[in-house]
Amino acid sequence: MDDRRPALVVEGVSLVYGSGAVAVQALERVDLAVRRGEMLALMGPSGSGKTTLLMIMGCLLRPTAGSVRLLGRETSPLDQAGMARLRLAHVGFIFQSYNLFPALSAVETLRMTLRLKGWPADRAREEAPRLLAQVDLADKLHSMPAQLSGGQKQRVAIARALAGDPEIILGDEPTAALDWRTGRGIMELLRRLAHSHARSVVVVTHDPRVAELADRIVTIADGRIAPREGGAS
Amino acid sequence: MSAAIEVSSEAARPPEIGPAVLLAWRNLAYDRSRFVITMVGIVFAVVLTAVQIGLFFGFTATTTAVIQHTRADLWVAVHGLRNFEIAMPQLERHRNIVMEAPGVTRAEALLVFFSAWRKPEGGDESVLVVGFDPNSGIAGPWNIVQGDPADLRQANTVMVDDINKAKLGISKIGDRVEINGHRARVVGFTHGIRSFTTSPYVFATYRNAIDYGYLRDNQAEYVIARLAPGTDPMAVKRALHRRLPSVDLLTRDEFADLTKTYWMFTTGAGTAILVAAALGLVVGMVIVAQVLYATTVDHLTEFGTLRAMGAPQGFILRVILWQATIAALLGHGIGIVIAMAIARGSQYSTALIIIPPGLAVGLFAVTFLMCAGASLVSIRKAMTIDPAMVFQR
Repeated sequence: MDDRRPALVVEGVSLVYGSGAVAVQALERVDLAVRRGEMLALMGPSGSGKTTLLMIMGCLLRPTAGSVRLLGRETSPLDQAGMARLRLAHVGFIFQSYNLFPALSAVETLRMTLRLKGWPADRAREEAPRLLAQVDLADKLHSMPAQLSGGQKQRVAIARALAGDPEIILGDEPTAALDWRTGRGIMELLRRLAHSHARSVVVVTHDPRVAELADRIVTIADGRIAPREGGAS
Repeated sequence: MSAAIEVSSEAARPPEIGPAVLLAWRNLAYDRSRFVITMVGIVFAVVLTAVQIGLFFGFTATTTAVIQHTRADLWVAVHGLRNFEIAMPQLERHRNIVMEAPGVTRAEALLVFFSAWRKPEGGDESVLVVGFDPNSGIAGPWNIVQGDPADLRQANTVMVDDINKAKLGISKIGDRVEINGHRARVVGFTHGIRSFTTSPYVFATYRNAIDYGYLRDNQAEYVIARLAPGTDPMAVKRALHRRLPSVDLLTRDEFADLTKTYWMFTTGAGTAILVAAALGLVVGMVIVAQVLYATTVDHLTEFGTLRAMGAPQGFILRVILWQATIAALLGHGIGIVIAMAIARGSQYSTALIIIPPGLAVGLFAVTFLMCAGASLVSIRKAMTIDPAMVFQR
């Protein structure tokens, strides 16, 4: 796909926790756009606001100022239920600790996610193994999380994030719990998926080697976008 | 400003029941030890409640067994009657007055009195002698498993229930005992005729019972009457009341209710059983509440992940309620099977436990409510979870 329009636009976003003397400015006038088919790495030291920004981009937090446009449409009028429906339909999440369901096998996790997204049972049954094959886990369909390595768990989590074909994938330190070789494999997989399916992938990381594998790097410091941007391509 | 996002109807449609059931079942069964504790808690509550209520039904049936099996439409007793077992002797002329009432086809005397039973090997037991007229077939023993009822017409004979063989110190037909010092011979056994008091029933003909009690001829604790088909018992009662103002006139159902109410509630026996049943429910509910709460709290991260992914609150509510439903179904199923087995075993004991199908069905509703109620606390916890928590671990 060669559609390079932004899928996700953040404009003048600020977030303040608390009020008065105890107010904490987590983000301040952040502007950011993520194009379709692009993989962007959000870098910054701990407490800089990168995960907070990711949560705002993923409609899990409301900014105190500014706007978020997802797929060209404004999110601020949505209530909590509307935000949840939006996440379910258009956003896939990847978590640092994988957050798999310990009692469900890989294929059951995928089937449940697809059913949750409204897919009929028969289509979900066909699609779940295909998604796992896409992340090279065709031979682990019935493995439980406890039977998988860290890298394999994260691949299941990526397959879950891809379920239902959402336009936006957001990852919170998806390689932090993995060794460098496995982490690089995960990042290359995400980049390949971004490019081949025109998905917008945003990954929070504090590892420069991981960030270098993204198309673009945005650095956040003290709740603001740092002036200089870099990238791998 | 752009238009608000419209989410496709496919994504907005609530998910089918399948994934909620799957996740609920797996959440429950994942930790085997906890699952077993959950089941034990529910099964304990179901068995205890079913057996207690079954005992209540059993005792209720026991208290009224003779009344229900006596084919009398009307019972006449001295005023102040409160139960079947304790009645005062009445005048002989009462039977004649009842017999003359319009609609009455037959009236006869029935003797009921406590007496001392001396075992063949020595030792005494209290018994309740029921003296009936063997010619009418209105009263008498039923469910006879050994012996011929015609043998009761012989002098100094009795029939007792086989459940009470050991208590009465007898084992077979022909065993000889003494009733109030009067010799008697066992000529048959019934099965399942229990007494609510500790005194077993001893069936004898009216003539023999007069002898056992050293009573005067024509004495009767009750006059029992049969009415012609289609006769309104209330009309007969009204007519008789004018002639017998100082006696209690009761239909069979009225007398059964009176006796039942006396033994089950006036004495407090039934109340104690029902309180025990309620306590069983409460204890079971506390166990189940703790375990279901712990199960939900253990999976809070997963519920948070689901919320972050965009799962509606209704889905999480369904998962938790399905956990309760599955736990209730399994716990009730196992519990009722155990309770039924205990009830079956009670057929051979002095304490009858009756678990009718309605009780089993009703207990499922109670078990489900118990499990759902126990889930309420954990539902609140899971429903109010902040989906952002999954990013803050």
